[in-house]
Amino acid sequence: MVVRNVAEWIVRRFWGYLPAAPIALFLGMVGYIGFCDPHFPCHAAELDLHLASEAAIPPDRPVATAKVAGIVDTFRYKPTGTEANAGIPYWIFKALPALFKDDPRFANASPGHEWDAFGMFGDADPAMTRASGIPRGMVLADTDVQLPGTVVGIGLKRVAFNCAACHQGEWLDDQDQRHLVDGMPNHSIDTQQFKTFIHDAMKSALFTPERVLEEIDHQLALAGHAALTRWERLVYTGVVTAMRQGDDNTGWMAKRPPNGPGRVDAFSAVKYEVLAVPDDGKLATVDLPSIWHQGNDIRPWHHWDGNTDNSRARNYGSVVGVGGSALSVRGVNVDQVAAWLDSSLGPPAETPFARKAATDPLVVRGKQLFGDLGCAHCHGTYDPATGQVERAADSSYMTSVVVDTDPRRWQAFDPGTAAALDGWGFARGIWPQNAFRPASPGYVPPPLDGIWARAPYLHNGSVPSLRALLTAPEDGAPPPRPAVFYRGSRRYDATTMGWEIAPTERGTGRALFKYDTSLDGNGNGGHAFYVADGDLDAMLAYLGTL
Amino acid sequence: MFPYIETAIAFALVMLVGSLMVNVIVRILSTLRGQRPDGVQDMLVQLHRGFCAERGVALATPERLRAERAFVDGVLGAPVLHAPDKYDDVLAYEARCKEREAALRAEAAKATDAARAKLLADAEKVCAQVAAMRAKNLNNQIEHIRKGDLLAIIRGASHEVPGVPGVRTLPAAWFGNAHQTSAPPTAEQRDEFQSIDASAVPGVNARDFHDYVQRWFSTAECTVSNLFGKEQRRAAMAVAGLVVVALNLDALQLARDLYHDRALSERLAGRVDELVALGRTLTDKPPEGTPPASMDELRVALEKTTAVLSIEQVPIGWQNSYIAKRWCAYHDDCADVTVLTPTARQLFTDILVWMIGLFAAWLLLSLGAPFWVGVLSNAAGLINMLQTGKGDEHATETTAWSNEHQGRARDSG
Repeated sequence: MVVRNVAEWIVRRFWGYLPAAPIALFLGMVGYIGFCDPHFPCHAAELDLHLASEAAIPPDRPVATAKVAGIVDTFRYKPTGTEANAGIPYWIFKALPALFKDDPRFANASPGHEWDAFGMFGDADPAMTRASGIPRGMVLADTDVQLPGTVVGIGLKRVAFNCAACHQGEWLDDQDQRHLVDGMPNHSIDTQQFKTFIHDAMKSALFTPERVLEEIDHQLALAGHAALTRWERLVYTGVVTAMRQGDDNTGWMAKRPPNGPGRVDAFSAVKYEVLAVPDDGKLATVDLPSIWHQGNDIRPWHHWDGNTDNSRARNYGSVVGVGGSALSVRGVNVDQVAAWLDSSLGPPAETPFARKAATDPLVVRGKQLFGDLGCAHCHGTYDPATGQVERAADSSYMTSVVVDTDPRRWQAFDPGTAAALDGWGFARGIWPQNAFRPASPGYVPPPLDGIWARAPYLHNGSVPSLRALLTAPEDGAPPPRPAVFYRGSRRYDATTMGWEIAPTERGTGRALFKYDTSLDGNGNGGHAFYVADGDLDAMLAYLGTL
Repeated sequence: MFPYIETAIAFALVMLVGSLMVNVIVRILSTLRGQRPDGVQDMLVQLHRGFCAERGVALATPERLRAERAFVDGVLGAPVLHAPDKYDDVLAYEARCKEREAALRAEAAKATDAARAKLLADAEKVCAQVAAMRAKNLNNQIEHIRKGDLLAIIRGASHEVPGVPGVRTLPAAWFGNAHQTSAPPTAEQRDEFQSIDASAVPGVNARDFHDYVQRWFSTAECTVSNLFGKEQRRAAMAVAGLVVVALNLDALQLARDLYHDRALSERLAGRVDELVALGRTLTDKPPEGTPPASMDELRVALEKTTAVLSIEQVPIGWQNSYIAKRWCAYHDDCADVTVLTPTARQLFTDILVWMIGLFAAWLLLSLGAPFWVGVLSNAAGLINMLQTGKGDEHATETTAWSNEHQGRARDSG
């Protein structure tokens, strides 16, 4: 209201000068470029707030010898536009763990590694020196608006998620070396816990300008820099006040079972927080998917229920789901990454287990079984050598099928939600009309490329391993799938073909998330396609080669 | 032929999007400025003045202004035009202010000379606050008033003159208190104003005014509408200039870039239907009774036009523009090695051509969104026609093989 009143006053006061405005702007631009900054048109037009603390942020530096492809660098380290609504100013982000050191979520965290509590580990990329100390999958970005051909913004760096947060996975080998895999689901990150923590913090009585400023000064001192100036204190006081007064529309999460690491309910976030649809009690929690081989030739439909075949709707929708807006989406970065996912990126060659050769008799037997048991009918036959999927003539490949798995996800994407989402993006010009369709009953069976890296299994990640998924039940008994297991470990169990499911991570002792299949949306039933005991090793050996 | 057509369509589409941007910005500015409510108030004042002039109601300027304000407030403050809660809020505020004003005036009456002036000034301030509150929350909320509504409000505001049956008069403040009539009409007056009403009298009378408004409403509305349109066009020219400079929209360079970037031209041409539909929504006259677009709707439309240009990466804007790169190259500091370092003379020529391009874009945007909607609608018809032609060619091709086969079979038979 205040903004509107000010705008009204300005327009009424200066209306008479409107005809002179274009000439004034032209002369201003030309004068500025000609006499002040000849390179102004070559960089983003940032409003410099003259914050000395911004210069104190340690810069991330790529390792020159690593020679990482430009697109990989974009995928891992370039912003996508999520900072618009979900970014946290760098120095506040640094101050938060200390401000809330008594929060139970940080109970087992070691100093300097507090964000590990949410499965957000420091970066282990040998190609990048991340002096800023922000976790893997997060980037630093100025607060920009993407105008046509010109980026304008404010020079205040904020920490926000990018693609790699959810789609760069990692595993630990026996020497505790971390292996990062682009495109693999990040099964250890708990985005919901992180989001809940941030919202709790913003609404907490402890989050006051005085305390935040004091802690930022402390952080700056630790980094060997001077304390905030009076001007900076004024700016940060405004920022903290604005953050405290931000909308709290995340209440829907508390009414549903927690997601746990490696899972997300992005459609509900868009539905309730962006589209402001009244809470209808539905939930759409899914396991984070892999994002390799996203081209229409292999994956003509996207998301677990195949609700869109539009690459732009998939990508821009994802950015909006984690805090982006129509004018903040960094189209150049997102489109480049999308083209890479659609064309080049495939599953990893390196595995945490000894992968058998394609000619190994066990693998050959497994491949034979894959066809004989009808697996190929729905999933097609992925050929790792060519990166293509062979489909049978009457195949159900990538068409919705009901195999009695938990229905909550597909039920959530009802016609009303599809229409609302469709209309939202179309009205803002970021995806075409009818880009989304309501889900049909069931889910689309995907190809099994890199299937070993996509554990836990089923759309909701309710079955921890391929062995658990495919082991046949005793006569009349339910499938021998664990009713409770622990998610989030980065240690791979080559015997079961899935991540280890003990309560703590082996070696690090990190407490993991207890996944209970009896909770709403967590059901592990369905997909009753089993492999006989004697054939299971062969099938797993074959699946391990994909 | 096709590349030229596609380039032309893509170019026209960028111009349409630019024009829509201008259209939306002008509407936002005019909403913020309150041009429509101002127009309604001007129309009421015009009717009031016309009537006074016709009836020889001569008032001194301050009284006239007060009378006009009272009339405008009386009409636009009619409860029927407002949401009840909003109206109640204003009344409650006014009641509180009037109490305060009365208290100040009472105090002033008892005060010494020195204190009295200040108290009276304070009382005036309270009056001004009441007027501002009423203007903001009642008068400025009305963007359009229908003839029937205005007539009904005038009739509703009238009351019978005590002791003179059949003669209705209007609130005293509307025409200055001295100009109310309570005398019944004479026979001559009846003859003279036969067409109006038997009770019509010279001076001020509810029926007269009612009739006057009925006769002149359309004219007054038209005058205000013309003024509004003229002002909108002037604003649109200025905003078009702002958009051209802000987006560095160089028409010549844009046409060249679109011609060379076929993929972009195709992508843009693929959005013709969507953007023409948006153009129609924003520029067509809305049906009678439809409320004007809200600020939220205008904001979303502006977001859309902006997003289309930025997401499709239309080669406009300051960053990475040709002229910017040439400028940087001239200063030996251009990252793009394909841009040659110009001499001062070449740079001067570039700048000249660039300014011509900007001027051309300004002229093209000034044609307005309806023009570009029309152009693209015709172009869409042309595309369909060409594509149908293409389709026919393919249709004959699909049967050619079998025809040939049948021909051979016939020959061998």
